[in-house]
Amino acid sequence: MRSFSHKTPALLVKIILLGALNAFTFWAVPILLSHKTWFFAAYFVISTILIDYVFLNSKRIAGKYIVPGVILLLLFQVYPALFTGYIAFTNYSTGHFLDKESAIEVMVSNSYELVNDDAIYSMQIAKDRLSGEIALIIRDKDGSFLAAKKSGTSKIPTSAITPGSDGKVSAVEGFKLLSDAELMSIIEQFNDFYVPAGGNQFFRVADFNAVEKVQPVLAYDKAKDQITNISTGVTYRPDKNGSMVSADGEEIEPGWTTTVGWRNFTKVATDQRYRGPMGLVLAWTFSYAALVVLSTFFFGLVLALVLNHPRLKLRRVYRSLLIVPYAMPSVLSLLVWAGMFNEEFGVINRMLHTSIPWLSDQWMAKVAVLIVQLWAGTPYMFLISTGAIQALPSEIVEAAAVDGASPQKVFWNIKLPLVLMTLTPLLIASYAYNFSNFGAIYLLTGGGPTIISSGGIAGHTDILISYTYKLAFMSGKGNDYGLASAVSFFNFLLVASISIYSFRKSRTMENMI
Amino acid sequence: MTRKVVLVQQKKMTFGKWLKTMSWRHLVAFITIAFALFPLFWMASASFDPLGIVSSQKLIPDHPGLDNFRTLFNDPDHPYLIWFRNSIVISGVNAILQMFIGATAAYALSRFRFKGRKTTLMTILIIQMFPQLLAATSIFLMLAELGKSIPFLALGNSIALIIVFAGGALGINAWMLKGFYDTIPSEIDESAKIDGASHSQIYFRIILPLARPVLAVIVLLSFIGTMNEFLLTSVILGGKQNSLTLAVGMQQYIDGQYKQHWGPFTAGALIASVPVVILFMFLQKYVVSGLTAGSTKG
Amino acid sequence: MNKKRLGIASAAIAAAVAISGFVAPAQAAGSNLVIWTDSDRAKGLKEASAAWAAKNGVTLTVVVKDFGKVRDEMITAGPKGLGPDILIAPHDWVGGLAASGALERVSLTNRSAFPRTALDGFTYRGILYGIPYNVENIALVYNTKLVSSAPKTLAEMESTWATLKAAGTAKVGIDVQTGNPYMNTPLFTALGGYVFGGKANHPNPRNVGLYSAKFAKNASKIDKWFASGFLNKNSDWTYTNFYAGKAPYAIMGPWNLEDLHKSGMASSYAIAGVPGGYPWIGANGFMVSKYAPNKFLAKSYIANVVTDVTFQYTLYKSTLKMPALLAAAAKVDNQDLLAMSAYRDSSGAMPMWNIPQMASVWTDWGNAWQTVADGKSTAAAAFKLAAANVKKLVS
Repeated sequence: MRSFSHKTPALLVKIILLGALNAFTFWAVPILLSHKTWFFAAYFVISTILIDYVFLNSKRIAGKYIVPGVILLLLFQVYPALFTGYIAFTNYSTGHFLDKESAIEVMVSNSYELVNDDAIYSMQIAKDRLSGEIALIIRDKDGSFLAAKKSGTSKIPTSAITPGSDGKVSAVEGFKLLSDAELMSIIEQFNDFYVPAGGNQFFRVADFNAVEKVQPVLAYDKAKDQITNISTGVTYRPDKNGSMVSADGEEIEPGWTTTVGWRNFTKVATDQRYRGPMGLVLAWTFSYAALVVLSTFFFGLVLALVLNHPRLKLRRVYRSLLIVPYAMPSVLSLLVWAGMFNEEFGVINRMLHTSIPWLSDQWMAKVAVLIVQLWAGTPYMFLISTGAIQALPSEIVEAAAVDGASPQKVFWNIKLPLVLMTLTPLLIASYAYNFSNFGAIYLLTGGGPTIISSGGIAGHTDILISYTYKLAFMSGKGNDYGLASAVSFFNFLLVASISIYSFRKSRTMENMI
Repeated sequence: MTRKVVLVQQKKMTFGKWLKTMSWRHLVAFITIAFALFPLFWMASASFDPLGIVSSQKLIPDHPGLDNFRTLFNDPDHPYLIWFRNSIVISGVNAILQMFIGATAAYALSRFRFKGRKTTLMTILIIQMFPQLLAATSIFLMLAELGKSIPFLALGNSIALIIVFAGGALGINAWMLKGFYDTIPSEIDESAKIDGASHSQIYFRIILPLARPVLAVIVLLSFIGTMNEFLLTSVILGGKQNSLTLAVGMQQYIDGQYKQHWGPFTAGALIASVPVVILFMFLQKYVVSGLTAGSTKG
Repeated sequence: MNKKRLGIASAAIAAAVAISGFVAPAQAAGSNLVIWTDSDRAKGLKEASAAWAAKNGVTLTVVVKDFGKVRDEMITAGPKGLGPDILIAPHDWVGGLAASGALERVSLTNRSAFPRTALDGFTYRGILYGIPYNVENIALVYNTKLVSSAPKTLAEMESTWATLKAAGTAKVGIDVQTGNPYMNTPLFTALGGYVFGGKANHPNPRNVGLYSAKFAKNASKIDKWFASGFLNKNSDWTYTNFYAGKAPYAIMGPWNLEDLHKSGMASSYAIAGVPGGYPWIGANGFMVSKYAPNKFLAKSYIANVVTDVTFQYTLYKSTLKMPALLAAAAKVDNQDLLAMSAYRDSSGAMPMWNIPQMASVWTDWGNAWQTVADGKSTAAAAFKLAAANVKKLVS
């Protein structure tokens, strides 16, 4: 019998950790509130209260073990998933990344143009001796001087000017001219430095020696929520897609992010170009994921069993070498495999003395993809199978052996079911992983060869996720995150419902839960 | 009686018996290792080839040399050794953290019956299935927001990366552990309870040692996973040249506008697989000692 | 029990207050110019800007970004205040970046110091968004052991190939990456194809030339090229055949020159153009972020440093690309680069379109090439389909 004394260090650790957490929240929440990040402030407060409650209450034993993990899970897994779900209902894409306010600001600020081609004036920067305000000493085209400040522009009498060499001014009464070094130290102030120049016009600092006289071409009317082109008089009004559009369809860029309802979903469901090859792509996605899981698990388990003999010499070395493929970055190994499968130069055809069109024939390409995934995925299955076999409780196995069961019987009736029971959720997860393993397809075949009837985008080895990313990121105007999110969400719903279904079907799993 | 004792008692095997029980195992191991290492020969070749083109690499390069390794270790713009250290530290911390959080939660999920238990289990399983590529965008936006207030959760900070990874601890590994805990007979807990053990003592001193084989596997899986993780790591650390991990830093060799320097990339990847193999060699001690650990009882 | 719980609680709160006293937010500021670039350019850039930075007390922070990701990061990170001041990128990104509101317009006083095509490349909807520092284009490289002089017609190239093939000295006619539409552009344009009608930076998206009338007549040539091996259906970007002396021609860009010199062909090649065709002009340059924390400094860097002859010449030395600034280009003595540039000038090439819709053009156009190479479709059918797809997406 062992003794279980109750020691204080554990309690001390608990107090320190809890104290640190509370300290962090006390410190962080005011700052979060000052930045108006309400959501995260609420998240930290609620989490801290929950943890305090669970750890200071001796009845909440289960909570002590699970709450910390769940809190992290909610922020870094569940929240991003929900956020993606939200993106699916927006037009977040090239040309629509900004919020409306910023987008309109960009439209107007990009429309500032020189009043005329030579509206560039030489200028020196000074400080008003009285107010300390920055003043631009501008030499007008007629040779007179202006002092332009953000608060207003005034003429400088010639008498106040002391001319210097190379056409510059060496002193101005009432102002202190700034040296380059002084200017560099306050250079941030000149970001978007505009000074009113009368009417609709502004002086804009081009560099330390020149200003440009500019005027906006576009003007935004907040009350009417419309933009007017001052020179042509055309008005632009917001459309449903987050763009300012004129009556005859001309659009000002950039647009802004806005919700678009189910549009991204209906696009996939109704557009022939997306819908056409969907059946083929889905069929391959399902069978691809299933074949990869089954083949890798079969080989992984068999290997784990074969190498699990206690008297097998070198088994540690064998095991270590077997996991090497798993340690290789997939971007590298997939490229190597693509090279090995090259019809003409590839080592596989050269070794077999064949000319199999590995990557350009639809069936061979599928075989190639599966071979590579067998190579890449078996080490994982081997590892978890080894772990599961090793962790079988010896009591049960020994008890069976004592009861006189033969080794074969012990294996088939006791060991294997136990191993399967431990591993089934991992197999389901692995299925889901392969279902969405974009890189495995994209880096090896790029989804090719093309399905001719699909109109060019879908390929015979494309799985749903690689196909949708092609649609969302390589067609149209560039990156359409809204569309990508919609199809990803669809992808997620599919694989999640399959998993839940197979879960319910499997009796061992039902018992597990 | 423990397995170890049995081992000691076994006599030296006769050749005939070896042929029957062992030879085919070696054969299977040889064949699969050949398959596993086959592409690595080409990688190795590319790493010694100054041209280093990988996709149509010859097995023996025309002009083999150590140029790629020299580039790898002597390029101040690509601090390989610093990346290497970062990778080991981040992966190591993360592996232990993930293992601990996962193992702890799995204990509750296996041993206690509480409200929301089924929901938690299903959520853990289902949320894993969400495509990472887009989740990365929202994590970027999240950290951009949080970083304004909390410096160590800002983009570019390794602590932020580790905490984000910790959010994935309640993943499929927790399921694996729960499945394993379920196979440990509850009589073991009960008898300890009678001996006066508290719940935490049962967990730390009985259950965790029993789970060592699975824990070792999980540490390895998390370690490799973090070493090779690219998407989140590049989103979170990208831009801080000296705090990158190998997976993200080395990508710079192959993601320039014009040239893909596969030579140094391959050399770097091969070297980076060494710590993984060493770690596994080390962890195997725990993996295979699992059977005897179970017999500490009594 | 109750007492103990209270004790823990108070201790925790005490620790909380104690620790929160020690934490204070850190701040740092100063004249810091942040430039995002991919890794190839980082070193040369630091060298070339060092003098300016030292003189003005500016800290130049060159951040290495993955080329494949930096465009998206520019768009997402910029508005969050996490973007750079300056981005170095190819000109065809300008459309997508500007359309997303990520770029600040720049002014250039001395436009005649640059070739017009390079500036056109950086102009989107009439606004200049960047200052180019290099110009590049692909060209035909031929093996002088197999071919005596630069080809004058496509037919001449085909017959050269036929002779070499019959003699068993060559395995492929032109070594060029299969299915890569950019690299195959000179061949495509030589057959009469084009992408959009319109001039300079004013493409007319309604005039899609992927299956132009002239190209339609010549399309079957592509089928013949793949059938005869004039074009190879399995070539990647590594020029295995050309470097092994097994191909009379290859299509390469200036970025291939370094490998070419390391290969067995180092002393037996010459550079020319694909007769009758033209390549795209690509320009790389400096763009200012709309959300640059130090926008004014960034603009003055662009106006004073990037337009400087020594700067562009230094970058040329470290990256081996033709400088954009004419005065710097005049100092270039690299014969290979000069020969490649000559092809651009003589063929009337134009800058690659920079409108965001090019994303779908590349995909469809590349698919067409790949499908023909795989023997899954005739060139006529494949390019007709690509043209139809592009028309639908662009309108």
